[in-house]
Formats: sequence, structure tokens, C-alpha cells
Amino acid sequence: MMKRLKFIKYAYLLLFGLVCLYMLYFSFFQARNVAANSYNRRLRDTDSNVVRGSILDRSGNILAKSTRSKSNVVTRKYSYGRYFSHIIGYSSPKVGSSGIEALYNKELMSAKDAIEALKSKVNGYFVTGNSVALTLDKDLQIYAADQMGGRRGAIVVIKPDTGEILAMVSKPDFSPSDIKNTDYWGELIKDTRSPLLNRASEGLYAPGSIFKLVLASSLLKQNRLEQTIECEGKVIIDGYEIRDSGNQKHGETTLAEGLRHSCNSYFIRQGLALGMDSISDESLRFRFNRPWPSDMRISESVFPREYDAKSTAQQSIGQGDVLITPFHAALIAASIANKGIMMQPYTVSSIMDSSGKKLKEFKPNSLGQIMDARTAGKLGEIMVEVVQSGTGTRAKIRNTAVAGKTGTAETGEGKSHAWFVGFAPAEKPKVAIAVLVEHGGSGSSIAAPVAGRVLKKALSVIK
Amino acid sequence: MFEVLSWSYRLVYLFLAAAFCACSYLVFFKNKPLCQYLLPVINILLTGSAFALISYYEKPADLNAVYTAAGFTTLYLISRQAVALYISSGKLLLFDAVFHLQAVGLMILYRLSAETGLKQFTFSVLGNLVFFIAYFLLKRCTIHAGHTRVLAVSIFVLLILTQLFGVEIFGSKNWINFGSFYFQPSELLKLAFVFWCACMLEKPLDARYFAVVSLHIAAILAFFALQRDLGSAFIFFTVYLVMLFSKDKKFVFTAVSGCCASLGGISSYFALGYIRSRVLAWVDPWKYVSNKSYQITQSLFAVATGGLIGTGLLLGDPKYIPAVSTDFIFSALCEETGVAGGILLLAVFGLITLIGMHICLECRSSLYQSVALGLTSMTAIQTLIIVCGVLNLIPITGVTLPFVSYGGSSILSQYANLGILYYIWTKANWGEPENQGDSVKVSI
Repeated sequence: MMKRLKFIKYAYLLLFGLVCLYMLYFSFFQARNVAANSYNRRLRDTDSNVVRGSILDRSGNILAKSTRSKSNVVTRKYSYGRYFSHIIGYSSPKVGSSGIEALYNKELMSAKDAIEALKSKVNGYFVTGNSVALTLDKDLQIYAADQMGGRRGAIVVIKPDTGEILAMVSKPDFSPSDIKNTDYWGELIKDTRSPLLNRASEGLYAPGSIFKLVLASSLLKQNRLEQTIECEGKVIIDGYEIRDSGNQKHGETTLAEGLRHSCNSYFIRQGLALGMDSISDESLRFRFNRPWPSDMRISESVFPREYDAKSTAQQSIGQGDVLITPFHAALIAASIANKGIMMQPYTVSSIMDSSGKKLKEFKPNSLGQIMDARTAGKLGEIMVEVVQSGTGTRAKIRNTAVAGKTGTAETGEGKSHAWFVGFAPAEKPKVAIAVLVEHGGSGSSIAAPVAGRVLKKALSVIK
Repeated sequence: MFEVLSWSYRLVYLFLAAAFCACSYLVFFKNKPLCQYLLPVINILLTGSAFALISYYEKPADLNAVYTAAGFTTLYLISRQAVALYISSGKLLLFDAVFHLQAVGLMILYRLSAETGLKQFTFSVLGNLVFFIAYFLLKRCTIHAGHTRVLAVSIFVLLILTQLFGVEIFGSKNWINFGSFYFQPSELLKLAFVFWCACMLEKPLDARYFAVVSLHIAAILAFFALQRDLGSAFIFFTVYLVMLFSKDKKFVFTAVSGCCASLGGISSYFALGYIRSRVLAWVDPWKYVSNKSYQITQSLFAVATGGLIGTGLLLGDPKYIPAVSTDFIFSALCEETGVAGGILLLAVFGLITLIGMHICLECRSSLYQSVALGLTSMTAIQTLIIVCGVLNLIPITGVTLPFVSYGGSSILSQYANLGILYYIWTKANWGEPENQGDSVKVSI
């Protein structure tokens, strides 16, 4: 029985040790996100001698800045108001904070070095907190937001080779400077259009035909590029009929033609041939059902785990229970542009002290290869055809080849969601994009033109 | 100015706590005499410095804090001397470790509210009396397997009394009111339960006898379920399981008990609403952040805000956490002394467990060995349950952190526990097992 007692002793020690390790893990990897929750009342504390640091864009334009009046009242000014509402978020003693203001609260509220902070505490003078520089571009963000007009939806623009987020628009938005106004806050909370939700990173939508890219990648990996399917304009599975858009019969269809015309019959037949396990594996490789390692709050995209023939057919064309964030959609386009390598997305490029000296710099980081370079290259070529002569022609830019894929996701109520994902220039990609217009209509007529304009602007502002 | 002091004090605190851990482990494993003398010095320095800082926070300085620290130090020195004189001069390590926990607990409690701090100090004084009473009481009488029935009867009487006269506080009906103060019978039950389990398990286990034991256990757990005292049910059962495991030759009975309990746990999830809401709050705390998970998320905010070395004493906001002085005191400690402070405290709990198991392994009477195992497990498991609970590793159950949390019943029961352990540790001459012929002789 002595053995048993010794076993118990070591079991207790092991448990204590594991708890200690978990505490370290928690404090290093989870604490930032946990502390940034808007229910954490500690974020609302105002009695401090630190003037909150500034938030800058990628070229150093000031997006948010606090100033102190003679009577020591600190006010925060958001230079571009609504344009950055979801990314920068708000910081208010009454309602808490969100976005970068919450996630980087500690950095914004701490001065460059401990000695300086100590001195200021002792002598009671004010110091300015560190600045946070974003990867976003002010001009592109404003331009993209204006392209959405009054429509609901999201635009995400990413640099494919680094994962830097260049623009992230979510509509409807709100005015961060007016959050402190109780009436305004009350309206925001009651608003059924949920303006506080960051649709770009937290909104989950049926992907519609942009999900065909996942299937296409799987088909290319299995060398089914030339395989043809006879499209009769509709497919009937277990008595359930799925039609092609406009009841069009595409006839003998290859993968390239299937993508170009966004042929449902082709992808349903191929999806059933591949089988749900194979599609499920591919979607997992594309990071569905997986959490995002990122400095932002991003929802996990959903690929259902239970299925039958009917749902396999639906999911092959991005309908049914499969859901994606606009952010993830942009990242998929970026990965195709980046030879199949998915980069970790990030919004903060560096932390600087109030004099502009860099304290910490964030470097690009790979999340792994989701497809081989050959598959990515081939898929890119087909996506160029989609914009050249397929469903995405309205995303064309003069003198530049654009690669893209449209999507029109039926929602069961009202108009469809309009999608466009793509990148440009096709031969040497510099920017990738996802556009989603909620209940906007068809992807080719609603989302593609917006994407084309934003891509053009992006190419002009990004070197 | 206070902020500067408190910021700097974080390092002093961590240094002292780390030094205590290092010295105590050195004493335990290497038997270093110098470290032995350092332990009380570190404890006194820690108490003195922490309370000096706390008193400086108020303007004018809060002298009560200084008096509390002085009183606590005096209590420590007197008790320690008494242990050295009347019990054993070579076995002070456990006592020093316990007083380290008490010092840290008192510091946090006094920081939360001077009133609870002062009350806790009173409980400490009473606790030390209970410690010696328990020790000398056990010296006068011998427990043997024949006491099983008496113990069982007293356990059930206590449970029924709680059921009849219990008052509901914090959602659990496990308090009895005596005029101006409340008493938690489950704390007293802990000791009786350990003795009863030890007596029951003295007999060789067979299927029929195991069924009888299991029935008793099930009845006790049912009472706890009725009183909505989830924490106690969990602790009592786990302690029983560990004690059973140490006696169960073929491991079958332990496995059966474990499986039955798991089934019971799963069915209670569906049958009892309060268990379901605890589990839901645990699985997705952020979904229910404003209602069900309010407590646990506030606790996580505190730990997350503290970071590695904490915000500094009195500079955090642990008062946002509900029940911070009892169940969630560990989160308050983590907020103001950091995860490092929390880990160093856990290291001391680890040492106490090590010493407890050492006492258990050294003991030559089978029955008392079981008792030592039970008492050590009681402390260790209770610590693990509440620490994992406040970190959201397991669903939160309302139990106290031994020697640290505020609470009279809890402190007194812990000191009684300690007194019994000391008795088992120091009784050198066990002789023949004092039994009625049915206990198993343990050979070493």
C-alpha cells in the first residue's frame, strides 16, 4: 500500500504543478484578451496621471489622440470619427471600451519607462502613454467605407504576403466620440441593425459560391482539372432540387468553366464525388472550425460536422449550415495570392513611446500552407478568367489583371448576400479583398463593382 | 507617493514569498538548519512590511493595521514556542508554512476591509487554541475501528440538524445560526468524516461490505445535494475516493465508485437546475458574462489584470469580485501580487501536502495512516478545487482556500486538522496496532 500512498503524493504534486503552469499560460497568452472585455470595470478607471496614448495609421496619421486642458480634463478625439469605429473602438469611463482601445489599454495607459512613470506619480505631473501604430491605411479605409454607401456589410483588405490588414469596414457603424452620451449609447444598444457588431471579423454569413474555391482547391489537388461534368441546369438530390442561377444549362463543364460561370451543378456533382469527409478535411485546412491566433476578436468560421447527401450538395456550393466571416474570406483570397501560404492577420504594427521611438514591433507570421504553390497558381489563373469573362467582369481594373470569385448566398429571407473575394495584380499580388453586402443581391452586380474600385484605390496607396 | 511605494513593494513581497518557498523546501528536502531559523524571520518581515504599507494607505496612517500585525506576530511566536516546547522542536516546518498562508490571507483580508481582517485575526487566535486542544485531546484517547458507529451517528445527526435548522447563505443551505454568529457544520463534518472513513476502511473490503460503505457515502452526498452544497459534496467524495484507493487492492472498488459518481454527476446536471447553470457558466463564461458567469468572469478579469507581478497592494480593484474575501480570495491575491504571488502561494500549499504525505508514509498504525491521508487530502483537494474554480478550469464551487479565506468555521476546522496531523506525526511509539483484531497490520 506504500506504493499507492507514494502515487497519491506525486499525483497531488503534479496537479499543483499543472495549475501553476496553467496560470503562467493564462497570464502570457490569454490575459490580454480577457482583460479587454468590456465587462471589465477596471478599464473604466479614469483617475490617473497618464494622458492616453495616440493611435496612428500605417503612415503615421493620427487616428485617435487625447488632449489635456488646463483644468486637467482629458478628452479623446477621434479624427476620422465613424470611419474607424469598429477597429479602434471606444474608451469611455461610463460604458467601458472596445477594439484597439480595449486590447491595448495597458500600452496606451503606460508611459515609456518605469522610472519616468514613478517620477510622474511622485511629483504629480502628467505623462503621455505609448502610441499604437496600426497596419491600416487611413485613405483606403475612408474610401472603402464610402463605397459601401448606406448598405450593410463589410470590406476587408489584406496584404497577402504579410497578413497586414489594410482596411476593415463594417457597416452600419457608430460615432466613437458620442459614446459617452448616454442617450446615444442607449440607441446603439437597442438598434436592431447591431451597429456595435464588427461584421468584418465577428459576423458569420453563408459564403455562397465563394466556398467553391475550397472545393476547387480540393479538386486541383486530386488532378481533376480537366474532368468534365454535364450540367443540365439543375440537380435533384433526395427529391430536393438545386437550380443553376437563371436555370442556365452550361453543358459539358470543366473546373475552369465551372468557376467562371459559378456552375452549381458542376460543384454539387463534384462535391458528392469527393465526399463530405474530403470536403470537411479541406475546409479544416482552410481554417474552418478553428480559432484565430490574432490580436483581434475574430469568430470561428463554421463547417457542419453532421451531414447527409442533401446537405453535402448544399455545402458544396456554400449554402446550408456552412458559415464564414468576411475576414476569413479575405484571408482565403490572400492565401491563394500568396502561393498557398496563409499569413497570420494583424492590425497593430508597432508600439511606440510618446516621442516616436519604437518599443515593440510586430512581425509577419505564417499560419501554414493551406494548398501547394502549384494549386494556388492554377486557382489564381482560373480566378483571373472569372473576372475576364465570367461572373466577376464588373471588378475589372484598367491595365491590371484582377483575380476573383463572386458569391450570391441565399438567406431564406429577403435578398441574397452579395460576395466578392479576389486579389490584384494577378501576376504579382499586392492586395487581397473580400466584400460582403448584406441582402445586397447578386455578387456579380453588387459586390464586384465595389471590390474593383477598392482594389484600384488600394493599389494606388500601397507601395 | 503611495503608488510608488506599493509598486516597489511588489518586488519586496515576491522576494520574501520566494525566499520562504526556497527555504522551506530546503528544510524539507535537505534539512538545512539555517533555513529553519530564517522561516519565522521571513514570515514576520512579510507581515510587518505588508501591514506597514497598508497602514500608510490611509491618512492619517491606520494604526489598527500595525496593531493587527503586532498581535499576529505575537500569536505566531507564542504558538510556535508552545509547539517547540510541548510537541516537538524539530517539526516546526509545517507550522511555519501554515502561518505563512495565514499571514498572506490576513494581508489580503485586511486590505479588503479592516473589519474582516480584525475578525480573521480573532479566528486565528481561537484556531490556535483549537489546534492545541485537538492535539492534547487525541493524546488522551485512542480512536479504533470500534468507533465507526458513534462517528456515523454523529455525522448523520449533524447533517439532519443542518437540514432542519439550516439557514441559506450565498445559495447554500449549510449554515446554522447561534445567536449572533453563523457556523458551518460541514467544516466540523470534515474531521468526523475522515475518521469515519478511516475506521470503515480498516476492515478488509469485499463486495458486500463495499456496498454498505457506498450506501453511507451516497446518503451523505444526498444530504449535500439537498443543501445545495456542491463544493462539500465534491470534496467529501474525492477524499473518500483517495482513501479507498489507498486500501483497495485490486482497484475495482475505486473504479466502480468513480464510475457511479460520474453517472450521478451527469444525471444531476440534468435533474438539478443549479448544477446546470454552474456548468453552463463554466463552459462558456463569456456568453453569460452579465448573469450566470458574472462571478467567474470578474475573477478572470482580476487575474488577467494582475499580470505576472500584479498591480501592487491596494492598487487593484479586487472588490469588483463577489465573495472575494471567502471563495475568490485567490483571485484578489493574483490581482495585486500577480500570477507569481499566486504560484508562490500554491508552492506553499504543495509543501504542506508533501509534509502531510510524509506524515502519512511514516505512520505505523494503519488506521492513523488512513486518517493522515484523509486530512492531507482534505486540504490539498479543497485547495485544488477552489484554485481551479477561480481560474475556470473546473466549474466554480463555493469552498474556502484553507488558512487563507475568511471564515471562522473554516479556520477552526483547519487548525483542528493540523492538530491531529501533528499528533500523528509526533507519536513515535505506535507499538502494536490498537485494534479489535480486524485491522491489517502494516509492515514497513
